[in-house]
Amino acid sequence: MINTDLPEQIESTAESRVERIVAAGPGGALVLAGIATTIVVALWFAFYLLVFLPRGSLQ
Amino acid sequence: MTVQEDHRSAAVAERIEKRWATISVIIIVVLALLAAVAGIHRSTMPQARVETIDPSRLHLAGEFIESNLGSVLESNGSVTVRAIGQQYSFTPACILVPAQTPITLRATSADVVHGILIQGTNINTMLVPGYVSEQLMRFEKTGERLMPCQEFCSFGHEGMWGKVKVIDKAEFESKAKSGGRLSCVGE
Repeated sequence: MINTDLPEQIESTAESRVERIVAAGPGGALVLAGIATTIVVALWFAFYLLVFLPRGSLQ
Repeated sequence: MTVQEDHRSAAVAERIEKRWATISVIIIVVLALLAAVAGIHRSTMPQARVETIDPSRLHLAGEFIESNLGSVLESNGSVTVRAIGQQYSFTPACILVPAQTPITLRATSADVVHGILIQGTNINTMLVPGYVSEQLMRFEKTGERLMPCQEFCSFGHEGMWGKVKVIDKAEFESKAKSGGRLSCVGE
């Protein structure tokens, strides 16, 4: 009987670790998503401003 | 784990998600505004109206019979170009147009979906069987430009190329005097 509480204790510790990490904010995910989004939007602007608009109007 | 901790992490996740959603909405709004700028700048405009046509009778009667394909000088000084895309060529394969003149390209497909784009310009439209595609265009300089099919139309797609020959306005007018439909096929 002395060991019956152990699994719950371990789970509880893991959960609180997750909680602590989530509470600190998803900094890495934001950096990754931020870099990826910036690259896509910057390429879109590059084509829009350097290729599409210089080709001029249709009439 | 305490109830307080649980609330704190949930609140952090919610705040970050809301901020990211705000950034996404801002990006979408900016792209929509730039699409509006493209319309105002006249780099691209959606076709004003939908016109339908029977693709199985193109060659028999109506606007796209063979003798009506090519460029024609209208009474108001503008030029209308009529063309057909079919597997695997454009008719006419070489389009003759004048420089510094408003041109209306009217084209359709006789079989599957094709596309027309003219090299180095924003002229770019799909040719859908059953529909007439109308595209306004204007060339400032004379010269030749390639006009590939831009929509995969089956195994011969890569060989489906047309050409646009932009000539001097006065030269075009003198050629148009004799009437008929102009093209540069065989030149």
